[in-house]
Amino acid sequence: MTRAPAGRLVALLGVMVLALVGVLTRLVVLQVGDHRALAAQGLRQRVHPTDLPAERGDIVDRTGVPLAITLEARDIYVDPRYVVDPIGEAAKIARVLDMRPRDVEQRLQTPDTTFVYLGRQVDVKVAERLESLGLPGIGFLEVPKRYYPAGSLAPQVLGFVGVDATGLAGLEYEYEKVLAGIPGTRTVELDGDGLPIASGMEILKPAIAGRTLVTTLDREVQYLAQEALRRAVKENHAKGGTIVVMDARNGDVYAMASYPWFDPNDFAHANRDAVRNRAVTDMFEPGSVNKVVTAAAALESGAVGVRDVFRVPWWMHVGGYTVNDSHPHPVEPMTLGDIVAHSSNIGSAMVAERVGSAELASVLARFGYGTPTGVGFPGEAGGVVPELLNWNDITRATVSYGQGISMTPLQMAAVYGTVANGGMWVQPRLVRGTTGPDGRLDEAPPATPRRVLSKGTAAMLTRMLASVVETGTGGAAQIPGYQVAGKTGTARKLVDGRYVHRYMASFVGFLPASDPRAVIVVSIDEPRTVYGGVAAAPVFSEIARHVIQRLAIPAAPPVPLPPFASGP
Amino acid sequence: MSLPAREAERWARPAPQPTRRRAVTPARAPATRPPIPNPPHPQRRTRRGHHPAFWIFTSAVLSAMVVGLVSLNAMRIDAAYETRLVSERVRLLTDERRTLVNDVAHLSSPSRIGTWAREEGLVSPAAGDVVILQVRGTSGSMGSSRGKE
Repeated sequence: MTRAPAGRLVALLGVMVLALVGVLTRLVVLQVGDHRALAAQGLRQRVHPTDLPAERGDIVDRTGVPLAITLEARDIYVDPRYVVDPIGEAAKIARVLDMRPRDVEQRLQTPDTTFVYLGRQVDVKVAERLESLGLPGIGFLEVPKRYYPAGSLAPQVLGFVGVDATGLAGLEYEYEKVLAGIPGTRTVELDGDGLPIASGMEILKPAIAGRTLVTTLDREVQYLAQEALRRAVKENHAKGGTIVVMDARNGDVYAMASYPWFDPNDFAHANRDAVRNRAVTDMFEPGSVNKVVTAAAALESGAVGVRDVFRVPWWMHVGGYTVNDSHPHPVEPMTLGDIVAHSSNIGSAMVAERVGSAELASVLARFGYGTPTGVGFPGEAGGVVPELLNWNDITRATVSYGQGISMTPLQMAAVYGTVANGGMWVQPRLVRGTTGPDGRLDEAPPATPRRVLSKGTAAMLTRMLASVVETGTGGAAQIPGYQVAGKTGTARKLVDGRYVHRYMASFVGFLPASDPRAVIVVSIDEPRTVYGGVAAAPVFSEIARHVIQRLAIPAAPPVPLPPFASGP
Repeated sequence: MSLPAREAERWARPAPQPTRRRAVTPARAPATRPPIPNPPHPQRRTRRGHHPAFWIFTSAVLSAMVVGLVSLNAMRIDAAYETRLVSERVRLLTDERRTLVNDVAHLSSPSRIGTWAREEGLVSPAAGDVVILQVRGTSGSMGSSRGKE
């Protein structure tokens, strides 16, 4: 039976329409129903995002000289499966990487693995030398490496970063978010062989580099402070030491040195003691340098006048204990100026008795004892001051000459900075601000200064401190042509809850006395010559002379000395 | 694929064929029936409509389009390669600059210079060896102000 041509056409048309409907239905299912899943699958196959690490910001000193910088380096690895001649290759690799051939050989023969590190953060030139040898199985990864071009300069302040470029200590840790930046991504379309398609999609979300941290440190002053400290520790056969150099007017820390120190380029081999920033994290009993606070409390409260004379023996009983001065002397008439200049413990205890515990504790709190300065450094200690409720006569007496309380060298710098600054406490700071790619300095907002002492009290304290250097225990701190105001300190150390015959010798001062520019704290831990006037004051003088030259500090007219019992 | 319209028309209106009825019915005189003119052959008509110049023009346009597209693509790819090369060069120069900055900082480091100076036998001047000159009226002598207020 044959159909009419028209009928066949209609049948063919029907079949084609049905087929077309089928195709369309499938298309709708794929394009509408499964659209998302299929699109995602396609993207996964073709498109590959790669993380772009952000460049870590530099750390520079106050003049812009880099103290920490990030450079390109290489991680070198081996896939042991492809190593043909382990002994021969090990010898060549060891020569280039300065390793022991036996160690390299062991790594080249590591079983059951496809990846073993041969070196991490290796210098690019060294890696290129190794790459030129064309050894089979050796691979290279581009990684960033942190360099500290000045070596062991302020290592405890700068800190260091780990192999993953994350800050682990110091400013590197404290300002991690600022320095690290924001990583970006590069999304590219790859062909079947995994190679980029030249005209394919490429979406670049660039990494935002970390900002440059501008510190208040001065590279030259820091170096000079470290050198002076190293010499002092060696000459005094001491255990260690700390130096802080600070701008009296705005709290900028020019130098912060702690001995022993380490090389941050090789921090893995550093002694744990050397890593601590003692100026901020270690507390010590200040000893006689604290007498300035006792004198401040006496003058502020009005309990003692500058011409009041005390009859001071060389020892006395307080609360069942015997306290004494460092040297025997007959009962002497002393004014407040004499007591500070000659660093009399008994005189200080007598002044504190007249001032009272509450007033003394109040002045200590106003100076910031027991509270971190907020300098912006990890692990900053705040010092220890006994609760006023627990104070008794002996507490008041010992606190008056700086025993029984503790503080950090930086806190002590802030105390003397307050006196130098006319009674205004200024927060010390290590960071001036940050700069971005445009190089514009984004200044860190300064903390509001607070008034601790009246101007008159600060001026009188300055005169007393000047007398310490000119007529008292701090003669070794003198600088020809400049009037220095400062105080010596010799504090017994507390070990396991008992005072031992080991001492912390210190000298804290500022200059020029009438127009202070720099506050310097020198603290020597367990020197053979125990006195601050002998072990620390000469170091102060040495650093101060360098600081005068470096910061171009002009001389200023001297302040008059305070009234003494012996008269003018 | 659908049939061309003229082809379909040919199928729909076939040329008259002698039918069975015609065979039975006595034939009429041809003069009484008007002659049916053969429809013109569609292919022949098409062929007649396309002048060789049309083909030349079409070929030229198509060739130009193909060449243009290929050239455009080649230029895009070339630009992509150029961009990558430039980016790589920028990266290398940036690295080189950083290395030089590091070298300058290292070479000018006071500790390096200090070590070199010590090795060369240079020493810092003693305290009394440096005299800081004063501008008149800015500073007095030490110790002369004892007891003054």
